[in-house]
Amino acid sequence: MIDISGLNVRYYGSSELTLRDVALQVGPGESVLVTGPSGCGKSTLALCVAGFIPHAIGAEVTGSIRVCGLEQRESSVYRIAQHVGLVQQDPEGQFCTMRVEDEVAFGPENLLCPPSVVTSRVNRALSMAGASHLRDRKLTELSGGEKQKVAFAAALAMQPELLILDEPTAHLDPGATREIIELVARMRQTDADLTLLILEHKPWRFRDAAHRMIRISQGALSYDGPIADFETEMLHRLPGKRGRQPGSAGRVLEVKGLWQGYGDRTVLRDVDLEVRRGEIVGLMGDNGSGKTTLLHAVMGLLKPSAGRILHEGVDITGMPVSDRARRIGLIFQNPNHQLFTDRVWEEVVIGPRSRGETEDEYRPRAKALIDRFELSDYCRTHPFLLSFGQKRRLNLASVMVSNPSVLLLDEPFAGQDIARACDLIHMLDEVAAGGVGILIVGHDPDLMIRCCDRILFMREGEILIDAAAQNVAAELERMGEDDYIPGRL
Amino acid sequence: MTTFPGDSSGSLAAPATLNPITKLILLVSACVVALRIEDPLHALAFFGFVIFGHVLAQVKPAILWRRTRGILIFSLILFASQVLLVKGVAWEVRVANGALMSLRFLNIVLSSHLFVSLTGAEDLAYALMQAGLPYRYGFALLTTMRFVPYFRMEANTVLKAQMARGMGVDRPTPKGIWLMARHTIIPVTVTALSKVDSLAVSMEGRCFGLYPDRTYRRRILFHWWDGAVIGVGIVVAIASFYLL
Repeated sequence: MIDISGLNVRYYGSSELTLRDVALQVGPGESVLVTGPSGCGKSTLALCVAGFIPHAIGAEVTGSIRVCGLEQRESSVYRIAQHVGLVQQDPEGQFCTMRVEDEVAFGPENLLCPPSVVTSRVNRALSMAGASHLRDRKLTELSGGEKQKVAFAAALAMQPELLILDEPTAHLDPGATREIIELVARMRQTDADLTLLILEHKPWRFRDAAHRMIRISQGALSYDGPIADFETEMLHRLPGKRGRQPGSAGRVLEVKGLWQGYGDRTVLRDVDLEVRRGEIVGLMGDNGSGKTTLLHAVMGLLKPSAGRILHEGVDITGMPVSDRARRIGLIFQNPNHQLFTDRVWEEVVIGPRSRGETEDEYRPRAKALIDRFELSDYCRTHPFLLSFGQKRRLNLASVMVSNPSVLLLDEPFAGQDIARACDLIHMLDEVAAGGVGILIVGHDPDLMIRCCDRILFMREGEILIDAAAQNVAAELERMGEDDYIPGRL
Repeated sequence: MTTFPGDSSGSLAAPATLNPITKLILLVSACVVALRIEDPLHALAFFGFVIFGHVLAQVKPAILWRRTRGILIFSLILFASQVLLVKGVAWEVRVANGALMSLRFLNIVLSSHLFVSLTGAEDLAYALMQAGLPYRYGFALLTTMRFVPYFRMEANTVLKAQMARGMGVDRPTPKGIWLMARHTIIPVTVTALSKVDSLAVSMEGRCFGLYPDRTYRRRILFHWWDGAVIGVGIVVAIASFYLL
């Protein structure tokens, strides 16, 4: 099905090879996991197999790629697309219609299939993807997991011989992740002829759906064999929590009886929480449970309908956001959303500068942070040219320059490989050691339990669990939230 | 004014059973008539007719008010400026001219609002493609409409990120507004470009553009009454040139 030999890929404008001397054979009906750290070349391999490189995305390619009997360089993207389906990481970005049925029918309609054939393909694809019940829905009304199922169905409607899934669970909560894992295993059983290439940071999740695993490191194939777990070793090497006892330091943030809604919908119900100096508190819960709303309300981006927010004992509920930003820092999920200027240095100092601080005031702080987050070589670089990890460090420096005593992070681990996540955990440990109280929203129980001192669990706007990290598994089990128990997914 | 296609609460929504192209032609006819009306009382009657259309389409009054209050305020300013600022004309004439200008503006905007409330963007695009519009243009319309709310959400997130950095977005000054716009464009553009890449891969990966034509599972029907309504719309628009 796939026969690759001596494959080298270099993107135009880059001096480095993204893939080097890759050789890979995959037989018909085989299911292969492709793993490796972020930026190792997994997605480039997928784009080569699907024919987008070099036909649609410019790159210098040497070596041979034969997929479904087609020599990729001699076949057009359209020809290859009739044999190979690609489901990208973010389903939202790949939909081109408004309704589920239209989206699934899109491919067969482009192939000039008669309406009756299109309908039968749509029915089969929706059934295979476990999405038949969604057929009449608008795409905007779907949850993350449902969107991913529709993206699967849209690819399956093309009746591909090879289906490539690019990190299909990257942005899903544990419940939706479990559904997708089970769906992929079911697809294997339903259609034994379908060849699967699954790109995934956490290969153990798909052990029931895959026959073998390959690992790519720095563009080269470093492992080809049975499913193995390289990444969690790194997680286990993380230092244990610092063993602080809750209550041993002063409260930097208190939320009391907070209610918040959008229109008629109540999102937060009587939420109480506190974060102590130097403490890292994790906030877990399904998508839509109110976690991000809580962070935004604490930051002052939303006006609560009732309740109080106290910072170091001072009521800040009515305080404008620009004033609150001196006390509380918020880091959003996507680093690109918070890069506004054209130089790294400017990015770090723009906050204090716009609050009227003089250069003498902010310069020493900014310089110290840039050194601490290893960005001193990039002061004149455009922030968008930094790597993901550097951007994340820049986000931290830009927020920490205001000396906040509370740091809020919205899903910083989403879509990250274990190495990047471990880097971030180390950075947050350092920040917390400086006396900052940290509140992190996250989905990944394995990371959250290692990162946090205390875990809160939210459901439908209420905090149901507030427990020390080492005790939270028992609480989650008692509540029936098995997907959030570390090691289960 | 933000409108959401097909957002009328209507199950009745008789106009919703019309083909989207019929509704588009009716909108054009309504705009022609609105522009041809020279008598403020006729314009007022037309305004009542458009409001009645909203009632028929079961657009909730609260939603209509929320979406159009800015437009209503603007039309009042238009009226007031005509009455107060125009010199050398009797006040009755200024009132009549101001009322006509404001009502003409309102009639065109509210007719468009009614059209958008009753017509899903996807239905309009599919109807146009099935009527002969090259499908590449139809999907250009569709994907644009699809990404409008998405980019609005992205821009909102970027603004929140600026506020969270203490960049004074919550206390806007003229210079601050300029900086806010500048600081919003860069991240939103970067996100947009990455989405465009992803969408292009998705569409080409499903053979969009392979053939000059494509098939449609879902037909947007054109009934005999669509023809009749279009005929009436065109006759009314032409008649307005002779009768008004």
